[in-house]
Amino acid sequence: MKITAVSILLFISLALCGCEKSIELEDRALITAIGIDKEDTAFKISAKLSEENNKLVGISESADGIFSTDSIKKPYPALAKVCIFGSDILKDKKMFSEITDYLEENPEVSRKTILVCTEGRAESIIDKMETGNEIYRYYEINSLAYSFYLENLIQDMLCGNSSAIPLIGDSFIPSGAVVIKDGEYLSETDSDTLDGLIILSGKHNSYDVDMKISEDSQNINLKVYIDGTEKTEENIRKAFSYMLENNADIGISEFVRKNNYDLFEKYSQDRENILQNCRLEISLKVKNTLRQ
Amino acid sequence: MLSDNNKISERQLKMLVILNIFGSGIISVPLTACRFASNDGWICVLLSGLVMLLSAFLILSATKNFSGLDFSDITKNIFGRPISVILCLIFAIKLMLSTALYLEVFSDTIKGTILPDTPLWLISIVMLILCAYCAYEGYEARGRLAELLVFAVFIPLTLIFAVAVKDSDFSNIKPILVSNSAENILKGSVAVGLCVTGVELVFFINPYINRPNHEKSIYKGIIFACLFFAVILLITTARFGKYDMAHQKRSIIEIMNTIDIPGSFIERQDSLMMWFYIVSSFVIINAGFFFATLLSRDVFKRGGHGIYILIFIPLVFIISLIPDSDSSIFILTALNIIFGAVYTILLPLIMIAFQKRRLKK
Repeated sequence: MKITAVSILLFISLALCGCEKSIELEDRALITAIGIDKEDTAFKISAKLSEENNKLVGISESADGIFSTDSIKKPYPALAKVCIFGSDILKDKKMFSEITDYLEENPEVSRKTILVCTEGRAESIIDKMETGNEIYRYYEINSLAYSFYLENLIQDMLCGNSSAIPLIGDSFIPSGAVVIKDGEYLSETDSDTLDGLIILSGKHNSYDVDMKISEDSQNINLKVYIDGTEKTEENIRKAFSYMLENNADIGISEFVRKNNYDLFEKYSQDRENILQNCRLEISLKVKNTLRQ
Repeated sequence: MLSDNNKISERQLKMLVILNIFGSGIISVPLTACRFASNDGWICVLLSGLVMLLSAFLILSATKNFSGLDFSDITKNIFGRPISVILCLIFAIKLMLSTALYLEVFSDTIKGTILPDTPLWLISIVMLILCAYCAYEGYEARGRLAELLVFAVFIPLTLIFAVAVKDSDFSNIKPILVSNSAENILKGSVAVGLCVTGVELVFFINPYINRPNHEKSIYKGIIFACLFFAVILLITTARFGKYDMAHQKRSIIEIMNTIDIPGSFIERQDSLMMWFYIVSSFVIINAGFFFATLLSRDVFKRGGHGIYILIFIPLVFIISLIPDSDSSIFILTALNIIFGAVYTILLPLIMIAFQKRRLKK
């Protein structure tokens, strides 16, 4: 009996060492939106906290130190719905890759975190936020709007070579996109091109689209059947030209792989080959006014 | 009234088979299936059911004439004491190694997801003591526990994957049966079928069965586990796509990080998935513990089952601290495949052949 009691006591005392680094809930800084900028060679994090008008700022030389700030409260990013990248961080290939790898691997950051970027500094967007939920609310209200998640960035970069991150301004509403190619900043596009890119990459929520591929003697024919307006057609053409000009493959080779594997194999020695050999054909149906 | 005769019912047997397959395959099955057949991995899992059914059939056929006898007695009857001792010893060492590796993978997963500040050794030792206690209580306790725990595994899992279906991109499973050769899919099916530990444990059930007609429960358990596994792997593939799946160590668990459960008030939803993972790991670790100690007792013929549990606790704990998580998953999968091929296919075939030869004489 004595041995059992002593064993239980010893066991409990061992288990208590798990409490050594415990943090009380009131000592946690609950983050609702994260802004990431480049500060010389370091990462600067600006986080909007759940407590009203409260902000947390920290600087770290490495990506994995961004949530280890000197603040009194320990940052807790599991509640963050949005992450904003400043333009400087997007333009630094090494830092951008480091930060996205860290966000992907950190179990406290959800892959469902909405990613956006800004032309200036993410910190200024965070400063303009009142609750930190403004961007998330925009997507919640406009359920058909294109929301881009951390998960999308990871998968785009694994499947093709490029990805388009929505670009926001002071009004928190997307006004275009920044295209990342091979992990590197490529260029900005306007909202029309972004609209076309979303349709072609199959991430649209608001269009009735059907895409088919076939092959003629030299080309891969990509036929898009879409229930939209002439403007929609123009946007698709604009986006396709943009992809061709910049060799930015956002979902095209992946679409070919999924739908015609023989064709994919034929051109897959160089994935950019697939995009360069694609010819676009659009079949437009005038959008049903009732649905509009 | 609960009986206390160290016998289990057919239903309990079925639950144990299901939980053993799930517990041992949750990390290694997606990795193995994805390595051989990428987006067709779920088909490998479906076909692996046939491999598991074949293994179970062979083991049951090899042991059916020895009702009530355990593995060491059966092998002693067929091959004689020296070979039986060698077979039992190898089996016990394999079970001990795989238990230690499951424990390492479990502790590393828990530390990496929900308990980042808790020392790895502490997670390991808590789980180990819990599993050792359950193993000490005997097979009947395991059977009863399986009946209860099966709900703790399948309710959260069904809930999570039902939500995950909603915005998964099922075009990610395309092209079906085109991009992977039939040879790769078959190899993958065999590898998946062998890399789960659940089936080899059928060797040990004879002394714990109430009724002789228990085959159906085992087959039903295998079919259910494979179908369920194939469905969740299909959804996981749809969710991540073949490229993302290939660079993830724990894709089924990671899925929790990609969904929003509507109306959920839980901040860290991955704790729901952990619930399922902890329970299934508990079942497989205590199964390994239980049978490894039984085999050791039968080999050394000294002392009771409890003494061997006490000896195994530090051994398993020390082995679990040696490899890192990546190597553990690799070694575990390789160990299970090689051992599975020898002990669940080759050995039963040899046992059947020996018995037939003896009958002819």
